[in-house]
Amino acid sequence: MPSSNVVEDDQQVEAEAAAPAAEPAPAPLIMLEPLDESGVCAVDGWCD
Amino acid sequence: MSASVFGRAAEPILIDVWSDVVCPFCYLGNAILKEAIEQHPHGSSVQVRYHSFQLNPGFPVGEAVLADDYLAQQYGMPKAQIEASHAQLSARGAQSGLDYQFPKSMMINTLDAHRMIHLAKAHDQEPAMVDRLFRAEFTDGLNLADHGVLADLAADLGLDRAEALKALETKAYEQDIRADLSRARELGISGVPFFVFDNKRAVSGAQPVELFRQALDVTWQDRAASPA
Repeated sequence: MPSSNVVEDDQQVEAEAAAPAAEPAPAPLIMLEPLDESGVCAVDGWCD
Repeated sequence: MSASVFGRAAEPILIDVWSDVVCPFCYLGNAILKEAIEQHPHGSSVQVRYHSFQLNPGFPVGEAVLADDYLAQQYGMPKAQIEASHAQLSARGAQSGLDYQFPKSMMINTLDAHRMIHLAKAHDQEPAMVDRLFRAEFTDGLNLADHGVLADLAADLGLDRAEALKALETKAYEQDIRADLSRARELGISGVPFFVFDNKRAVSGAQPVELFRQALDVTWQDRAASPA
């Protein structure tokens, strides 16, 4: 499961007003709630 | 005024997919995503873009071993457990028209296979190459570490075999592959397949077709609700 730049479920994307740089930070992705717990191969090569 | 005719809704829904050639769930997830797109009323307005991901970047380049032997050695998995896992995935794959032949699948370093996907992308053959590589890995049991095999697959799709060999020998598309991997890190992707819809919503894993349909529905609704 991604560990950063991601919000779970259908939480609203945070406003980007706080981004200080000229180029705004990308909005975090909104993860859809999985229907199945398996189905991913992880970076260590383990598939479950 | 119809949002399906003007504004953002007139542009294709972009689906960015991170996957690896030796990832069995990526083969399945790709097939399920295609089912969902075919079933969606606006499926013709969808563009899928593939991005490189490496599950096993430390595997020696050019070498190949049977994937089952690798799993047994790397994780100490008993043969019966491996076979049970394969049987489950084979059954799911069969429902999507896939023919997994796990005993023939090879573990390789997939960097060169990803070069072929980027080569195919340059010739508008990216989805076909992704499909062909998955089938070569999981059904045909081909050695995708072998440059000759990869060049043959490129030629099967109508690409120039000599150009494919040159791309492999010169380590072409390295920058594109690194950019894909870097973007995956930025997004926090730690497993594949991983699907991003219009840079906003994401699905992790080879989920049931219902979830992909939901992702397409809500993405389409996002567009209809957003200003042109």
